[in-house]
Amino acid sequence: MVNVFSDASWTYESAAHLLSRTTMGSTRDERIALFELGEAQGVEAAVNSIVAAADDWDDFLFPSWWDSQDVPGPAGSVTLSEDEFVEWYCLQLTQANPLGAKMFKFFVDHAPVSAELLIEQNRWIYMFKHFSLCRTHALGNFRTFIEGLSWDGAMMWMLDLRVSSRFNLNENFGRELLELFTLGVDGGYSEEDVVACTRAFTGRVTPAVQPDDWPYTPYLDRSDRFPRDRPAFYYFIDTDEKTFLGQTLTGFIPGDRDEERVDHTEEVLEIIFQQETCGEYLVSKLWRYFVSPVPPEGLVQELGERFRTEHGYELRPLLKDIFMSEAFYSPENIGNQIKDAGDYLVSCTKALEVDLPDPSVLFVSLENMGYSIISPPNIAGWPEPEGVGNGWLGAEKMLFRVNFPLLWLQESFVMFDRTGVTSSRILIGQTPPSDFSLDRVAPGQVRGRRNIHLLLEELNDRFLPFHRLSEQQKEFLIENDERNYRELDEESRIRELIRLIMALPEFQLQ
Amino acid sequence: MKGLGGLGFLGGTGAGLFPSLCAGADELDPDGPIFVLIHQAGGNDALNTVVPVDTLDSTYYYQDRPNLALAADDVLPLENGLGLHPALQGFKGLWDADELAIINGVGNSNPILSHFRSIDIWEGADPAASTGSGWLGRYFDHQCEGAEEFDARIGIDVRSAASLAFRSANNDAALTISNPQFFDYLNAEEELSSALGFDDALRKGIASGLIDRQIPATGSLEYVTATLKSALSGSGDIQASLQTAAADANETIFPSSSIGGSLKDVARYIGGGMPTSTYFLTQGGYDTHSEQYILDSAGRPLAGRHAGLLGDLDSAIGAFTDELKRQGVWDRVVVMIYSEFSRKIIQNGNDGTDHGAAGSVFIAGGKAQSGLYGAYPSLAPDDRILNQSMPMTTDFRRVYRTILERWFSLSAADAANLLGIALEDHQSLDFLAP
Repeated sequence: MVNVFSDASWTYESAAHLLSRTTMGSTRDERIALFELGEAQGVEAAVNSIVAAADDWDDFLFPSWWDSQDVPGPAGSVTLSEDEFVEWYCLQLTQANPLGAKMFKFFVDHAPVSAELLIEQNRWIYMFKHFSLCRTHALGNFRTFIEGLSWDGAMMWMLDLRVSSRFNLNENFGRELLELFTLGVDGGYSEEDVVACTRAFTGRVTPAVQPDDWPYTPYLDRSDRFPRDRPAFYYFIDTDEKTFLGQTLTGFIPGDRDEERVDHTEEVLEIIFQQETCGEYLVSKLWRYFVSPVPPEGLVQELGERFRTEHGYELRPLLKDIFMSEAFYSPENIGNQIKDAGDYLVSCTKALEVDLPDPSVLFVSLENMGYSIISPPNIAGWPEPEGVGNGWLGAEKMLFRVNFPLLWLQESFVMFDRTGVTSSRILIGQTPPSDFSLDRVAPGQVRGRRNIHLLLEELNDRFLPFHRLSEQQKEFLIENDERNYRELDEESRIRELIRLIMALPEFQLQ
Repeated sequence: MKGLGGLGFLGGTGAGLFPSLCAGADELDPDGPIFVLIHQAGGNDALNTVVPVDTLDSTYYYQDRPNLALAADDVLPLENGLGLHPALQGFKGLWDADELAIINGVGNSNPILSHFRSIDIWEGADPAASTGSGWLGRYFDHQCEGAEEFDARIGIDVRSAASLAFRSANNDAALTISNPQFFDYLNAEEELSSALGFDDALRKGIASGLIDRQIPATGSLEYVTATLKSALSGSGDIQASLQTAAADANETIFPSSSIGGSLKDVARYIGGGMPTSTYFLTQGGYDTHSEQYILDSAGRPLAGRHAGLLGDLDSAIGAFTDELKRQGVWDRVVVMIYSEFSRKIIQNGNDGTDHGAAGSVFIAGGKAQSGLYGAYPSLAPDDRILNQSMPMTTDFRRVYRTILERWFSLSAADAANLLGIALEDHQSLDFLAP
């Protein structure tokens, strides 16, 4: 049995850690409130307050064209910019139920799609549908999410499922379903299983390869329903007998009066989700995402088993298991995870108590941080936030991150593209000014020169809740502040102090 | 310009915080050998790149690829009945000039059709994919043995994310730069420069966090710090290289493709005198499950994605070669081009091919020796592995060993040690003279 974190061990730091990993950033008031809740009612109550919070996706509406016959792009009359799509996504990261947002980001990474690979005329319908799938199941059922992926127009384009038929097998989807989405590369399947899986998932044809006047466009449907029955495509489905992971699936004729099945996919999914490796694979990915790349011995197996057998692949109880475990709160995990680009963006807005930047700035900022939401590096998603060798933080990403808070602190930042450096003052001039308010971050009474130590305490707790500023760091900050005292007004002086604290390596960690 | 000199701080008040080179080891050699590694990401179809148009196995090739196979008349003839894809005109020129080696049947002893595991095997030089460090990262460590850390400029990952290949066993970080314009801010006008945060105050602030810290066990803080340091220590040189190149009116024109842009950056770093020994680049898009080809006007499968990718690579390598020859440094450079795996012998139903195993590696350079190395794999049905894939004839670590031993002049024992191989089992190849 996984050791549960005891109520007696619960501290302010435990609460801060739990919030930091589940919300991408918190305020001190939130940390105190959670600490007090845990102290009064126990760890389970504190964890429940995060895990049981209801979904609020309905608060984040699709664009107005969603419910009309109109579509963005060459086929329709409305336009949609990439900026707007990214803003829609980022608004949810910053404002939705925090754990839901965190899991939304996880699934966007678990099953990434690239907009440019989708047929242009339906691109944005597919993109919204795909992201909608990821958020709908973010705190739902993992198995339902995976079935949804197999009906997801974006994924069908991404992995060639839309052209795989019994006559023209294409392994792309069948392989990644096993390797990346469910079992993992060491999940115990063979090349023969890849072929059997591929044969089962045949005959899901998307409109692009149908005649122009074909009325049947289930993958563009604005609803979330899976179009399991599709008689027009029976001819393309491989319903012959096949053996998958040691189990034989009997052949049949689709459309036969006594036959309820249309294909073998439900059986294949059932077999996949019976595998021990299926629960373990997702648990190990979630552990890496929420905790660390090195789970304690035996923990993944045990949580995976519970996820598969007791929780029936429901995500909320699994997340509760993770956040209740003693290992989650182990000292080496506190404040020792590098923020991924999404975490970093949200943590900046929360620490500074500001809104997202203008969409045009947001899009290019995320690109500069290596998080191109509509064009992932490959089907394995963005690099994992796993510390050593972390792909998020090459030298140029680091330069950008360190400069990024200037956007709010000095209403200035710099974008980089292949043609050179552009000052965003140009952009900023066209957009509303930053809503940063120094009063929220540094109350008047601690701003005076004599109160510098109090101010540093305040800022330390706000920006680096898991690290104490070292003596050298304080010395440097005070020395620098002394110099600025002569040259800058109070507001600018303190903004500069905040900038320097946010540029410390410790601010990259959560 | 005020106070933004790239290395100004390093030699100034912060001396000792940033040892500028591998302290205790030789400084990086600005005239030393240069290695440029290019990964064809996604799995390049070797069978349609180095094509067996007239070999003992050609019958299988034409049988199993009825639409995809290239005709003998359409390829650029090499020798032994093999020919290059016609998009590789520049490669053929290098071959004719005795500057292009082709190693066929390259693979590993634990082949797998997963992109990501295969990439880890290649970059870690480890068929078990369990080292946690990269073969070049270990080489950098070795070069700076005895030093506390290596100079970040020893290698440049010309990509947007740091690769396993460069990952050191000691948490050191080489530079990762997909876009050198990030470092161009020193050029910006005064107002812009002052708006930028990467100034003296910031440098010192970061430095103040570098000393007397308790480094956590998994080293996240250590890693972030090392990355910041690599950005700081690289910025001056990168800037100088860009300025030198920008002032050179005779610079070769590079194609506008992504790989063309990346190779242009590398040529600029070399021309600007960067002391970097190793560059790592990627050309993506080779995962040709569908529409690998389309028919050209004569009805031949010579157009489409695969031909386009090879054509982009060919013209980029052509410009790179021209530029380095113009700079007079082509003899200092070896280029290696490889993919994580090849594709199946059979075509699939979507005018494409699915993942396969062993493939071909190219080595170009002024000192490369043209020729075919490594036997072409048998295409006979009984010899196929992993559901219709080509078996390997040449372990990939023999290629690495040749580079380490004959290009970087490591001893055989050191090379074998870095690659985790037995000396006698994985001999060097002769694409470089001993």
